[in-house]
Amino acid sequence: MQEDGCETVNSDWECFFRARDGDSPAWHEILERHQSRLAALALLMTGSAAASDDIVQETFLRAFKSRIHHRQGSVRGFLTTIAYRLALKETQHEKRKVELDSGSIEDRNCDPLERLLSSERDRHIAKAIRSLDNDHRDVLTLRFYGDHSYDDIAKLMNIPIGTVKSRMFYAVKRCREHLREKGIIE
Amino acid sequence: MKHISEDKLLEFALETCEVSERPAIEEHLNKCAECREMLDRIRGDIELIGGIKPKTGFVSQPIPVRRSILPGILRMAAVITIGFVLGYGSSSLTKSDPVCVSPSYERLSPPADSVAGYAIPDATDIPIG
Repeated sequence: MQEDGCETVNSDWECFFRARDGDSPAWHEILERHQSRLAALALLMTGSAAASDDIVQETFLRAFKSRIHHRQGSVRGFLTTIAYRLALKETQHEKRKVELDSGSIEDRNCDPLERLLSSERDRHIAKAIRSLDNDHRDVLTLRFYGDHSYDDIAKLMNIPIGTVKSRMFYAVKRCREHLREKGIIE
Repeated sequence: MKHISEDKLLEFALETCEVSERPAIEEHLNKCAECREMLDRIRGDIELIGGIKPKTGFVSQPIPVRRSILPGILRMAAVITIGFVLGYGSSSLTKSDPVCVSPSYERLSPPADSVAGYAIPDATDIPIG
């Protein structure tokens, strides 16, 4: 944590509001805390590195333009909800969509994940998650990369909580099978 | 000892199993090292699946928007002033035609018989004194 950042503020929201008001150390702190997760969520949902970058930037822009003053929920939940909706819009419009399944993962020159994922293990995991259908993938990414509770996900996706849990179970089970086939896990 | 299935342990790790099932699973885990080992492995896999870290690109800090009512007031005052000047200018430059009011009431048709009883025969006929 940065010396002049949010160490003394001890609040994610305080840091958010300071960054919104132009405080540079607070901004860097916010980026350090949330950028990677937002990028992962956007990448896994859209499958596009370019779209992922745009969604992260747009998420911060929208969050800072909002007039919220409350401190309800978490900053991460707030940001990932914006990113989720932007990613959903992106996938629906199918702009700049890159099919990750095209080409082998060993062919690094053709792998669109190469730009954002340096570790081969991470690329295999991303492929496993991307191989899920949208419903299961969205639940998994919201839970793991958005840190949303099952209850939050149910509200966000407008589905029963039981459906969220069963999709989550199936999504992780499928990913583990995929990774086991590739020899990534035992 | 009967072990807990891998699927059930996955549900337990993901907290997607029924709350009522948890005590029995926990009790078994306290006694069974093999199931504990399996649960640890599942938790490790979950951590992997939920832990990919993409390289992050440059994100510029959105410029804070300073909201002040003064520019709005000045802008509105400018619009009103310009509107007034343009309106006055155009009205003073254009030559207006004289307004002729014709006594069109003379050409009005008389009211129908049904309402004639209630109508004033001549609106200009106002008794004085």
